[in-house]
Amino acid sequence: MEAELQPQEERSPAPVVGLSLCDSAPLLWRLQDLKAVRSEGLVGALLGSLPRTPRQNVRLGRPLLLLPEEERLLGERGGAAALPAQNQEAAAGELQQRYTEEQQRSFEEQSVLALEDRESALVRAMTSSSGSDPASDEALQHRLLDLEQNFSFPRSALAVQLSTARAGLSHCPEARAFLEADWPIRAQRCPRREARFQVFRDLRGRGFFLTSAGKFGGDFLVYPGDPLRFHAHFIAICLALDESVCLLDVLCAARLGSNVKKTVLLCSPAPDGPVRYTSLQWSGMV
Amino acid sequence: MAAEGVEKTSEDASSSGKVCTRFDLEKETELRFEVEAGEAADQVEMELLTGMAEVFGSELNRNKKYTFGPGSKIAVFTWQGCSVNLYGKPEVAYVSKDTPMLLYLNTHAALEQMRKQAERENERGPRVMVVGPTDVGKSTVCRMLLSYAVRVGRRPTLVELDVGQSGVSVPGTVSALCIERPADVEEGFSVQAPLVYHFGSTTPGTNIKLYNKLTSCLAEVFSQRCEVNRKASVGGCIINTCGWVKGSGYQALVHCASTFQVDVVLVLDHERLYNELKRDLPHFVRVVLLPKSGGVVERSKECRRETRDEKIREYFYGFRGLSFFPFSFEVRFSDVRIYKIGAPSIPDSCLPLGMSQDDTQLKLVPVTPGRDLTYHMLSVSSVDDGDEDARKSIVESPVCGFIVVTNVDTQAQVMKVLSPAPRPLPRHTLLIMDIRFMDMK
Amino acid sequence: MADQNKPESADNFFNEILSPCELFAARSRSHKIPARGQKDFYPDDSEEQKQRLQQRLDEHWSLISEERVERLGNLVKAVWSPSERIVELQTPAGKFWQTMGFSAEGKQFLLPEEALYLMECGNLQVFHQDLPLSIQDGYEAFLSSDSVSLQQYQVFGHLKRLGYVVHRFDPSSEPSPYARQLNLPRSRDRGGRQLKRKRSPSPAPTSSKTAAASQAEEMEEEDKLPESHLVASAAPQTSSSGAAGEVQARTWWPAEVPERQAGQRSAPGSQRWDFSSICFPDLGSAGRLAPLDASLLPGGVTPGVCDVAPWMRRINLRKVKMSPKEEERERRQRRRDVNKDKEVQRCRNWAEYHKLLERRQAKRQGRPAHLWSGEVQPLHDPTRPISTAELLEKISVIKSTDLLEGAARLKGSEEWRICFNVYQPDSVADFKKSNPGKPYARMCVCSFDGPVPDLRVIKQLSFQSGDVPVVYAAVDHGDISFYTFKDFQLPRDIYP
Repeated sequence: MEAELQPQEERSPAPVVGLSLCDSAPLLWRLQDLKAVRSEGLVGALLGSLPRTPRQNVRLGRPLLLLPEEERLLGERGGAAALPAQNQEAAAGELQQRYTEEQQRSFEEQSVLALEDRESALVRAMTSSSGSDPASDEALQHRLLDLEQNFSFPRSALAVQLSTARAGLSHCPEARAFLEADWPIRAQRCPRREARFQVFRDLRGRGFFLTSAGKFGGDFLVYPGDPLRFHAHFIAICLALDESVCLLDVLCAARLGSNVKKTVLLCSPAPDGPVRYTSLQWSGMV
Repeated sequence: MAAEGVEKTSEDASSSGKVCTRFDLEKETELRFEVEAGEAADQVEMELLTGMAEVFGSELNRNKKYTFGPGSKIAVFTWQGCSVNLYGKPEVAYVSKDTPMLLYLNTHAALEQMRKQAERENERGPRVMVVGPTDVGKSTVCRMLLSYAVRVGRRPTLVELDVGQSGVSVPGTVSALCIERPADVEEGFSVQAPLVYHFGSTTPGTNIKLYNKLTSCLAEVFSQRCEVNRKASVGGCIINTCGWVKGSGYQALVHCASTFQVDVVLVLDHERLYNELKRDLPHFVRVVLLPKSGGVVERSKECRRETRDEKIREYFYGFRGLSFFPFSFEVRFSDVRIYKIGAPSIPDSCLPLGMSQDDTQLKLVPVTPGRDLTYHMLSVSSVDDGDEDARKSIVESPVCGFIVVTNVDTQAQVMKVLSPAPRPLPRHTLLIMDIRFMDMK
Repeated sequence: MADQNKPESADNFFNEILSPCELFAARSRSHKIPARGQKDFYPDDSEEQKQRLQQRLDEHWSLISEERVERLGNLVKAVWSPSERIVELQTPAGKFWQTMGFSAEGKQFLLPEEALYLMECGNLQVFHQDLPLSIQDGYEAFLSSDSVSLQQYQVFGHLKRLGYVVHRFDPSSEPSPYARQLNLPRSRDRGGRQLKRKRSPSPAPTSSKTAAASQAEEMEEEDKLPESHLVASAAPQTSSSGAAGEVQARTWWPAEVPERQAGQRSAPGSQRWDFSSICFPDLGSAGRLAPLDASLLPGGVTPGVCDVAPWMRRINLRKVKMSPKEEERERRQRRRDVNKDKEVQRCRNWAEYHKLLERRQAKRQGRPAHLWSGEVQPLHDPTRPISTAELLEKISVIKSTDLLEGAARLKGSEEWRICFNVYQPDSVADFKKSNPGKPYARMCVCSFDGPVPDLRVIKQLSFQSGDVPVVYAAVDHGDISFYTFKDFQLPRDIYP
């Protein structure tokens, strides 16, 4: 299977990414998948605590949640596939044994590394204090020997990894049936979702980056480039062409847009093709 | 009304080297004597030698010397005849046959008849209001009737509505006191746990609305007590009133009769008042006209003020300044809230819609402490002002005692007070009185 | 460093597994987050911009790629139990135990959301079938729409990361509407899972007994009190007669306010006193008095017969001095004898007389009695002065309601429920799980895609929450916004 995957990656600029469902939300876990969707201009939203400093909300970490539109876009291009739900009951016994072995091997290797670490520290300390005279050299050798004989690496000092993505020796081995061919159709087709998707696809096709704009009262925030470097220019509000709009809503949106220095776009996909964009601006005439 | 008793003056100063005068009294006569007022005046002692006698309803012990201070006006009455010694120099001393004691005793008998009936029928005993102009001996009649009632085993209640000359507490208050034993010949009724309400002035006219309100409060509390205490209910009450008998004062009397649901009104020496009350009170109220005693003397304004001062002094120092020891300490303005009851009246046209002047008379008005507070009496309210409701109830709540401001330091924001008990004050809500007291002795 | 034992093809696949060497090196890595620089407004396709973007992306990916590496000694070990959807601790809990978890049957447990959060923080390693769970495993195994949904966990994690203490909301721990109506004191040991065990089966019998006993004693004490206490209170009293010569302070009078109940007086049913047989020596109505019955008199008093007549001449007939104003008023008020009135004559006692006066008062003041006798009465009695504000309140027919009005009757909805109790971060220091106190807020989690809670829901949840505000956490994919619906009282400018 892996062999099949590799050539596919070479062929298409967009590799197939593995989605996993959590409470029916499409989540991306593996770094390569995150990178892949980003390179397609899909931003998503990070949900998890950042491993480096978990207790803050400014920068979050994996997993990455895809918007329904992002998910559908990937699906349409055949660029996404569902990861199997966990827990194909494996030969658990064998895995557990392997896990124990791995741990033991890791412990041994880390012991060696720790000893090396201490030795080099000792050498650094001894040599920097006194030049290189034979007496101190001998003392150093003696000390090193002493260290080697008495060094013990406590089990509690063993560094272990808490894996983010499911991989390697977890209780649910990954190796089999990594990717399945098709992605279940999950998107509920309702006019509103449809309009949103049309707009999303159109704007993305024009090179814009999009994120959700709930806090600005719109459907999408539209960025001219990667949101890491650019401010959003527009607030996109998606409407079907024949949908009537309450004037108050329009005024609210316009007023809000001008307050956050963004242009409000009313976006309506025409039945057969292009999306119509209308900008709203509060003129401030007195 | 000449002195008819046998009078013998002898120099055989028994104990104190004072002049001793002996009086022999026939039955149903009384010896009246007055002790000179003023600070320099001497006390007069009195001793019952033979027979039986009473002072305002309280029996005298034989061979016991009773001491009466300056300004005392005493009548020693005997039903059977007796002889009495006076030591010292009374201002006046004479024996009179002409006393209404028999009428008062008959009044008592009628009231006792009612109590007996109340006891039989499981009803409440007589509620009696004593009215009359000033200086007709209302307080004395009350004292006598109460003492007689106690002597036949009753437990009547004294309701004191005379804000000028309270027999129970300091002036400027109305109060109720349960009477358990006859008045002490020298000290009067023992006052232990009276129910006292703050009025703040010595005349009901300064705030008639408040006066009537407090009357109603007392009536309500008394009625409640009657419900739980059978003896108190049968004992009934004797209500002493102010000497103000016209205009609003008269209306206050009618209000009092109504709110206490009195059964008997005793009018002392005032026919017009008697006729008016007969006209204005419903027929089931017995209005009785009684004479005043010839021994009653009119008191001057000066004399009244002195009595008031004495009463306040008595509150802090005890009878003759001997039994209590007051405390003096500083109270920070920030620790207390001082109020006056009743806002100054304003023209009706300036009042907000739907509000009448009456409402302002019961309002609590905060008083900013200042130098003019000095010497004022303050009542310590038994409730503290919390919310609006609590503030409303302060007016209608009893007080737990009084303090006098002896000094005000506006810089340090403290006042020095004379207090019956050591600090701290039990409550922080204080009500200011118009009455001032200078602790001169 | 790739694992030598594995086939080449697996290399890619397992590339997120760190080698022992990498693990060891991770011990000394930085905990700083690179600062994000100023953003640009327009892409200009310049090399400089591209470079900056690349740099930012590199930074971003290195941050995102970082794996959690912890010393084994710092990790609390736990086991996932899928059937009970709960995580059981295997090694002693850490500091987090103060605000999270519960114990039962001598074991320590974490709720799935708590376990997942601690996994993300690098404090907890959860095993299943003796193999560690990845964060991804945790998300997929712990979260589901029928226990804790992903959105709820997002809100939970968001608040936890900010330092709040977040507990699941248990509706049964809130007082029922009935209990609230009675204003019963909140019993603390209701609903708390861990507390049920602690509750002792038998209430202490001694305390109630002594309470009763002391009450009885108190009552006895009261009986002994002299009757002079108009106010029933057991305050110590001073005897004025005191010990001889001992000078003492007067205490404050018992400051107990008598309770006032209105209208409990039992009015006597009939006229009781027959004053024809009860003889007062009334100077107003002449007559000789009958000899006194000795049983009415104090002992030792033996009076003669009393004749009123001689006193009648001596009564004060003096005309009262009155000012012109007083005279004027007197003239105006020249009333008839109240007793000439037939109705007054029929009154046998004060109670009946008061009733009559009340009736007349009502008539006199233009208050037709019939308007007030029925069930439907006028809005306001004009004889009763009230403030402008009160009057306006009275005559406003359409009343404004508050959020809780009628909420007691509403049934809970399936769709909307309060998820979490939230306690402020500064309470953590002395936070007790057994007695957490009043929450700072309660959290209801909802989705941006879903409907807005309607008034019914808002009422019902507010009522359920009592005096703790309900906050609605609206989850828009990665963003969480918090909203509250509060009662707003329109200000009224009335100066009474």
